[in-house]
Amino acid sequence: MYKARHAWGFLSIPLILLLLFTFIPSIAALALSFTNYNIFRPLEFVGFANYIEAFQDATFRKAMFNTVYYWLLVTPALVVLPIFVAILVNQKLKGVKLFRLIFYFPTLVSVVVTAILFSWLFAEQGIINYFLSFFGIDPFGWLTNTVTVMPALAIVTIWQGFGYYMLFYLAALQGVPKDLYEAAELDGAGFWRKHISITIPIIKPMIFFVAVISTMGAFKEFTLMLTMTKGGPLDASTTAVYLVFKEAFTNLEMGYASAISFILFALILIITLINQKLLDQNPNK
Amino acid sequence: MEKFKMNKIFLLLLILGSILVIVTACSGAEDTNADTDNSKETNESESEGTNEEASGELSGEIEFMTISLSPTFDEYLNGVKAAFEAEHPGVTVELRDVPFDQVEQIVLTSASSGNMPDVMNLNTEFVKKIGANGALVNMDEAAADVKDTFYEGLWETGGVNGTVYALPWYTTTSGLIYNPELLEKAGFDAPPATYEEAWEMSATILEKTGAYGEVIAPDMQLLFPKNGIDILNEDYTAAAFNTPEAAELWASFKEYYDQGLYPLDIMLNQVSLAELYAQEKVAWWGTGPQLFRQVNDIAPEVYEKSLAGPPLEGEAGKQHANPMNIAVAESSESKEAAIEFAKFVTNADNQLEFGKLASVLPPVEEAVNDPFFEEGAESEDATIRGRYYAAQSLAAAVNMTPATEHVSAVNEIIHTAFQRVILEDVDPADALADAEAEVNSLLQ
Amino acid sequence: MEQPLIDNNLQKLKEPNNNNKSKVAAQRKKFNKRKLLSGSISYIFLLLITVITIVPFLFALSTALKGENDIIFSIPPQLIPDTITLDNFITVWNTLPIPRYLLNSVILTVFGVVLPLILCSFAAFPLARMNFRGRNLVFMLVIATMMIPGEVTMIPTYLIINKLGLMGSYTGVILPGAISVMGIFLMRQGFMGIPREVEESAIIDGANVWQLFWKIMFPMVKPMLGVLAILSFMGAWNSFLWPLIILNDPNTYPITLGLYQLQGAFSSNTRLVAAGAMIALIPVIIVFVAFQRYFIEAAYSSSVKG
Repeated sequence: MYKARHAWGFLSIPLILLLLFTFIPSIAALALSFTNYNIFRPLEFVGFANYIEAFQDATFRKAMFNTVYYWLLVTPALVVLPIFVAILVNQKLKGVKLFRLIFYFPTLVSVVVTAILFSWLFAEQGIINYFLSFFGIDPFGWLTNTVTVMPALAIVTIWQGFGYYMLFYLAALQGVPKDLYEAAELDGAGFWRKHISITIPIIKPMIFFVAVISTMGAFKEFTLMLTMTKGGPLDASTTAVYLVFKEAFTNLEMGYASAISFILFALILIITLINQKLLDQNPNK
Repeated sequence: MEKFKMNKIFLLLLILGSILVIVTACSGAEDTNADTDNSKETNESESEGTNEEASGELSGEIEFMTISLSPTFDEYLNGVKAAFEAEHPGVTVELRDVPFDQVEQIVLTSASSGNMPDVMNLNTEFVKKIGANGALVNMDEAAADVKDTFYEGLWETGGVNGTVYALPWYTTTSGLIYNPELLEKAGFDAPPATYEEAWEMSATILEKTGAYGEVIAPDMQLLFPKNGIDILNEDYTAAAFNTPEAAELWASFKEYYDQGLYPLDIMLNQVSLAELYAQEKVAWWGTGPQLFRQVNDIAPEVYEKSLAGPPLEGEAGKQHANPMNIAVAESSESKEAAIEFAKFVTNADNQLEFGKLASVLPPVEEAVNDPFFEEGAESEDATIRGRYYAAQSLAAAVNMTPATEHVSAVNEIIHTAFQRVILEDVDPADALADAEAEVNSLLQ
Repeated sequence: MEQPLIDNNLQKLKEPNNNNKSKVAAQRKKFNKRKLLSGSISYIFLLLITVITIVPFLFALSTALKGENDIIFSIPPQLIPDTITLDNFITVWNTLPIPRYLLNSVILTVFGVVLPLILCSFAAFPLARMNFRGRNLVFMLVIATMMIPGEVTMIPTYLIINKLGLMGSYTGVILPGAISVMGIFLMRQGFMGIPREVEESAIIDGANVWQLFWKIMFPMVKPMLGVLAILSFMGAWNSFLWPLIILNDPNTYPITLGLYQLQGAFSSNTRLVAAGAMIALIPVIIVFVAFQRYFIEAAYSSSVKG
């Protein structure tokens, strides 16, 4: 019933914009990754030198490790926690709209402001340590030792992100027929059983979707590192994209930075394709 | 109901769509205008550029980029602009202020299309980085006539590979703001004069008051030159900091850290010293006096009781001065006018006026000898008194930033090595040796 | 008793397929009891999450309200200032042209929200519903570029904007964000959820493809549009680096950039920064409160239809 011209008609404007501002810049960046571009000097073709350098670079390996570590800290929490929150605020309770608004609130704040807020909270003399001191825990710098810095940043990300994913789930929950719950309740199913047996299967496509989006978010995160830790201490919070940023804008190694980002790109592409396979297997068509 | 809503949405979209078209058209139109204007001016400046040598009349449009000075100093900057334009009727100056953290990205991005601002306020590290890449005008040549008005130690600030690429603008040396109440509690009646004394007092202060004394600040690499240890060799081709003295210095810092004399988050920029000082968690703060006011912003009563003293001295007895710089883009289309403007901004009169406004120091001999900077000697106000001490030390101060384009990388290597000593208990001598090797391979 | 409005609505919505009303009414009593119990547990959780969510804001708000003699950073933290003052807000208002910045932000945000809604739907509709040659290729390209960090493409994008003569214009700020790969992805999910029969019956009724899209398909993905609108809103409102690079006249700055001027080279007055952050939040809250009603309504109506 649809003809190809319909498809291309709809796609034309989006594709032109994508071409101009996404495809062409990406190809340009790919081309740059084979050069020693540093903005000022005339560029030279260097072949795969940047890629070879990346695999020999200990900082790059550490950054890749940190990226995966950060992903593992952040994504499972951001996939699971918001389901629970969405179910909570999807109930017919007094004031539930207000709660939705409050939970979404952190998402609205720019990362720069968030970074300022949490730097106060996490400081050695900060408020979090103040509360921990009641439990006999000696104050320590959350962001200044190599062990706690990533979990601390993950906490910030989760704090900022759970409301965002709550919205996705909230939209998905509207697709769950209410009578299914009523039937389950008549059968005496409790809160957990009700949701695990009814809600989760129905919102499964959304769970996959959130997994994809939050994975990509986690792999691309760097503003937080830039504003809160500068990748430190001892590169413990240097993620791949932070390294890209640093190489490009601090060390003026645009070519090398592009090479790193394409290695990262290959990695995420693989992960996303796997995810996509899983998504498409769903009876959602 | 449903249909009605849909229509409304349609209408909305239609309106928005047409607005977009108009906006696009308008801005497109403006741009073409701007373009033709530009090209006209370029032509003019070119044609008049040839006349320049003959008549000495400058022309063109120059963009002057400053860092985080607007809106506080708008009036001053507009005054400078107006004065310059009055002197050179053919020149228009456009002011643009950018946030400190984004300067480098903006300059680099605009450089990629050849649109770098003509005259730029840049920090020292960045001047060296892009100067070495040929992006900035050689000031040794372009500003040879005004070179002698600057302090020699400061003129070199914008230098890399033997060429100076920027004029020093406003500068500061340190003063010391201190909290006499905390010192008294710890049994001291005067602030420390040297780093050695400072560390000795720190232990007592911590014990008696729970506050810190001396701390390791984010610019800790400067503790090398302050204590007579060079960061790089004379021609900036190899590291020079791997010495027994340096190892000893770091070993003592490690010891102080283990005693809890200072936290690491200050060096890692997690907490600002202004905040710690304002909370009376640290007994003194050695920094440019223009920043003392931050204490007043955070906790006026702490500022009220604070006093100022001369800056702490290391073994070398020298102070570090870190000027902001004014550089001119090599790619500028109105280079002559831009250079003239850079000189104008950094001349004695304008420097003096800005120094008075912002509590900073002019790196120009004539300006800093103004009686204004003598006034603070007896002042009760920490900022004014601090400015007096800072001005006193300016003549002998040098910029200690190593003159290599890899200056940020070198600093980072030193910081990392130090963090390994503190966090991973690496022996200072080993950490320094590793850092030396890394720096050497970088500089080759 | 509790939220009668929504209850009634749901009741009404259910009516058509509810032919054994009395049975339901009898059972309703039974779970009201259970609901009350689980309700209070819910509230405990809700309040707990609220506290975690809101504490950092309270600190920012309290900082913004603190007067000259209140210490900003103190241990134990002082949440309620001794002297509550609006001076910081007034100072911010007087130093910066806040209304102008807000207006600029609103303009940028309206386009930053509306364009992705339309354009991403345009792109997603054929990708989700049509079979045509090259579909997989287009989709692969779209996904692929989603993974390239913006920091790398920033310079090439800048060069293109420069070539198009869009430097310093709002068009230059808006266009690169007018279509987001994430949005295409999201809308594709939305369109994929619509049953085949909807399209078929519309075509039988004589609608052309354009009408089918605007009149039937587009309204059916309202919940996704709601989500995308909120996400784009957030991105557009908070965008910082890109407008900073493209715009060179401070009079055209959006509020995020304008507020940055509160952190000067010599002063960083935390109280003013906090007050500025609060000012930037106010419109966001207003829009969200207004929009949230629409969003939830859209979500409900679609579930009924689906």
